[in-house]
Parts: sequence; C-alpha cells; structure tokens
Amino acid sequence: MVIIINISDIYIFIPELYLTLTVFILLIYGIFYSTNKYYGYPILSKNFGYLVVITFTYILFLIINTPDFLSTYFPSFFFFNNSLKWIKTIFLLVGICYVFLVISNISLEKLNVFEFFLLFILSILSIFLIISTFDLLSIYISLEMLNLIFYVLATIRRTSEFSTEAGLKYFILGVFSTGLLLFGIALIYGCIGITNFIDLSLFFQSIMKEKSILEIPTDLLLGLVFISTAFFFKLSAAPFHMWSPDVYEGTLTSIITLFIIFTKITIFFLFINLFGTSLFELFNVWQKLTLICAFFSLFLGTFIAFAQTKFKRFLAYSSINHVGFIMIAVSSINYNGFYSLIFYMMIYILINLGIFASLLSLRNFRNYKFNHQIRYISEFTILSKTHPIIAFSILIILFSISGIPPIAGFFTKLIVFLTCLKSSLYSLVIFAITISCLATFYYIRIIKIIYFDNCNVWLIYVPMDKSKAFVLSFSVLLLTFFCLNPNLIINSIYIISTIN
Amino acid sequence: MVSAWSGALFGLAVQLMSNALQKLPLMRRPWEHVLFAAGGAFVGHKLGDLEVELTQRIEAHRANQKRPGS
Repeated sequence: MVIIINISDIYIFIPELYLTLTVFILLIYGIFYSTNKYYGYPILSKNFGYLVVITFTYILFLIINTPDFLSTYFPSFFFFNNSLKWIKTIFLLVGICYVFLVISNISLEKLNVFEFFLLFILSILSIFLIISTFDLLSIYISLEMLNLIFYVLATIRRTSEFSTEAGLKYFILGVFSTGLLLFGIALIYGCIGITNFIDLSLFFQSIMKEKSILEIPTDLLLGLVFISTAFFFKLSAAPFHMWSPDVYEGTLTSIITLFIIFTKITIFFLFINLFGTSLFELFNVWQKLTLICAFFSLFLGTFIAFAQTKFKRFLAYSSINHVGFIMIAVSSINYNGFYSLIFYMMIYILINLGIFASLLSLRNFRNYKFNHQIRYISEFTILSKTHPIIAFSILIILFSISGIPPIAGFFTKLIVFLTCLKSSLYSLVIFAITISCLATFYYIRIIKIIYFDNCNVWLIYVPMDKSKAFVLSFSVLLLTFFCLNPNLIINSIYIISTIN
Repeated sequence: MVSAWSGALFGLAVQLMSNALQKLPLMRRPWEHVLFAAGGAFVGHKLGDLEVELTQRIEAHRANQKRPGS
C-alpha cells in the first residue's frame, strides 16, 4: 500500500510534530550537559520540568489557534475535529499541573533522571495520537506506544525491588491485554477485511438493516469481545483489575498520578471513539459487556476498599469504583452518555489533582536526608492538628469523591444517574446509588481518622511547596464553588459532546 | 462585570489559600495577590463572554433540532 502524505496532513499534525522535535532536542541537550565534566555533571530534572511547561504552553497556543474543521489525515489513520481540539487543550493543562506537582518531588524521591520528563512528553504525544485515532491499526500502534512508556516509568526506580516487581507485573499483564486487543483486531480484519472506522460504521449499518444480531458471524462478535476485554484490562475495570493495586503499591506516587489521571481518561475517549461511532450498531452486545464490568467494578471497588490500610491500594480500589461509575455513563451512550462521561471525567481530573497534591506534599520528615511518603491511612491521625488547612482540603476532596452535595462530585454522580434513568436502566441506578452510599463510609472513615482518632505517634511533615499549594487550592476552591455557577462547564461540555 | 469580579475574588482566594497551605502569613508577597486577582478578573471576564456565546449556540442548536424536517 502506498501512503500519500499531503501538506494539509502535516498542517494538522503540527502539535504532534513539535512534541516529537522537542523530545529529540531535549534529549541531545540532556545528554550533552548531564555528562559534561566542565559543567560538573549537573542534575537537569528540575530544568527539564520547566522546559516541559514552556513546551506545553507553546503547544497550547498552537492547538487553540488551529482552525475549526473536520478532517482525517495520514490516509484516514487519524482524524481531527473541534472537540478533539478542546480535549487536547484539557490534556495539556492537566499536563502542566502535573509537572508543577511532581517537580519538587523529583529530588525528594531521588528521581534525578531527566529522561522522566522526556518520557512524559512522549506519553502526551501518544495520548494525542490515541484520542485522534481512526483506524484499528493506529489504535494498536498508539496504545502500545503509551504502554511502553508506562512500563518504563513504572520501573524508573531501578534500585527498588518494589518498583521492579510492579513494573514487571504491569508489563506481563499489559502485554497479555495487548495480545487480546491484537487478536480481536485480527479476527475483525480476517472476517470482513476492514480496519477503518468509517468503513466499519458503514459496514455495520448496512449489515444490521438486513440481519439481526444473532445472524452476525461469531468471529466478528468474538473480535468485539476481545477488543473490549483489552480495554477493560487497560482501564483496570473489575474483574480485570487484579494488576492495578499491586502495580500502584510498588510504583512511585508521582507516577501513579500519571496512571490514574491520564491512562483512564485516554482509554475512555478511545472507547467512545471506537464503540460510540464505528461499532455503534452493535450497541446491544458491548453495552452488556460494559454493564457487567460496571457492576463488578462498583461492587469490588467498594467492598475491597473497606479492608485497605495502605493509601495507594485504597486509591487503586477507589479508582476502580470510579471506573464503574464512568462505565455506567458509557453504557447509556445512546442518550446523553457521552456528555455525562466528559463531565464526570473533568471533575475526576480535578479531584485527583487535589488528592495527589496533598498526598505528594505529605512526607514524613525525620531529618533532612531521610524523609518518606506516608504509606498508611492511619498516618493521617495528626494531620488536623499540625496542618489544619491541608486536612480541611482533604475533607472537601473526600466529600466530593463520595458525592456529598453541594460539592462538584455530587453533580457528576447525579448526571450519570439521570442519564441512566433516561436509558431505562432502573435496577442499575438503584444498585449504583446503594453502592455510592456504602462507598461514602470508607471515605468518611479517613475523615474520622484525620479529625477524631487519637494519635500514637507524632509525625512531622515536610512543609508544602508553592506549586503544590497552588494546584491544591485551585482544585479545592473549584470543587467547592462549582455549585455557584455550573452553567459554564455544563454548557461547554454540552457543546463538545453534542454539537461539535 | 459580575463575572470579572467573581474571577478576581476566585484568584485572590486561590492565592490566600495557597499561602495558608504553606503555613505562611496570608498576605505574604502581596504583589502575587494583585497578580492573581487581575488574572482571575481577566479569565472571569472572558469566561463570562464565553458563557453567553455558548448559551446562544446551544439555544440555536436546540431550535434547529425542533424545526420539522431538519
């Protein structure tokens, strides 16, 4: 096959090209300076962090100034439209916030490798490719690019046994899910010889006019099941969630932030992109799969989280619970599912930025050389006495996750439930509300530990730095005062999801 | 005007809370308060305009959907 690249393709592709070029230039810069005896082998991690912020700001302007149009490029492997422009903008803004969160932890966690930020830029590049993918083959390539970066990031602390174990677990199970994805794609291609999204959509529209769902070849349905299973693996939706608590426990907190915020949101966009458009005619099949996973995610995410004592494992199960709620929104996509999904994810990003800003700043201070991240939930006991404002911020964030009104988290769950009711999924709504009430218990348990438990050990925390304080205050205030004027966010999400 | 004032208040609140989180006096580095309030007012003003524009687009879209034959 001869691939013809037009000049207009490159014009749309400029942000991605710029990111690639930046990685090359920064790599050369990093290698030259960090190995230079004349400059005293400088540690460039912080310097790279600020360079990443400058790069992202420049790309932000590039994306915002891209004209509004709908197009496919690189012979229909990728697409571009107005919604994508805004979604990329959100990813870049979150990326900038992420750099501000981790920039001071790099030296605290002794992660003095400049390659960390290069891998982060590459992960943003692959996220851009994933969300604009328009072909089954480009899904595989861009998703693998992201996964390879994350395998490296999971094991970036090479001297730590926990990190190596986590990375290896992530790699083996990730490769297994990629195998499933590739097998699913191969089955679909083997059956109908199509990989492009528009061609798939047209094919299923024509076939569903003539045949019922029972008459569709089994290989095709099996391919669909394999692809969706691979996505559920990547999302760590139950019952395919077993890797995530172990991997999160062994990985550095600053890298878990990347996994929880970026991976899940990207895969959900991809899921919507593939299943909501080209495989929409097979809605009855994939809706059932999504509902089964949503049920298990809600159930296991809630009940296993009760037993957790370590904060990272607790966060892993909490995120599985959230995946359940997002999947409910996905399964009612025929009405306003996409709208409620984007809304849920926006607030999910804000909540997670707040959680990780507070978690990354809470380091148990013993002396200047040795301080470590808090690991256990019970280590929060002293927080309300020593850091009342951080304790209050965590309280607001936990209220928001558990969906207590009038904080933003309540509205996200409300919109998901309303969407579900419109799709007549009444029993699921009753189940989800019950689970939501039960899940509130384990979030409130942390608040109880912070405010009411007696402290046996006095911990001294490292003071919070400016960038984390800014991100935390921004997210907490936005979550709290969201209810005063929710129209702007709700309207813009409506525009992104419905009109564009 | 209301949105600009709300933005300014939000910017100021972010800076105050940021200082409180760092356990600094609330009015430490007052030029940053001014900067945040001004930035917040600018963003708030722009978002106010954007909100009006979005509402008009949504109303036009809904009217278009209700039109028979569209």
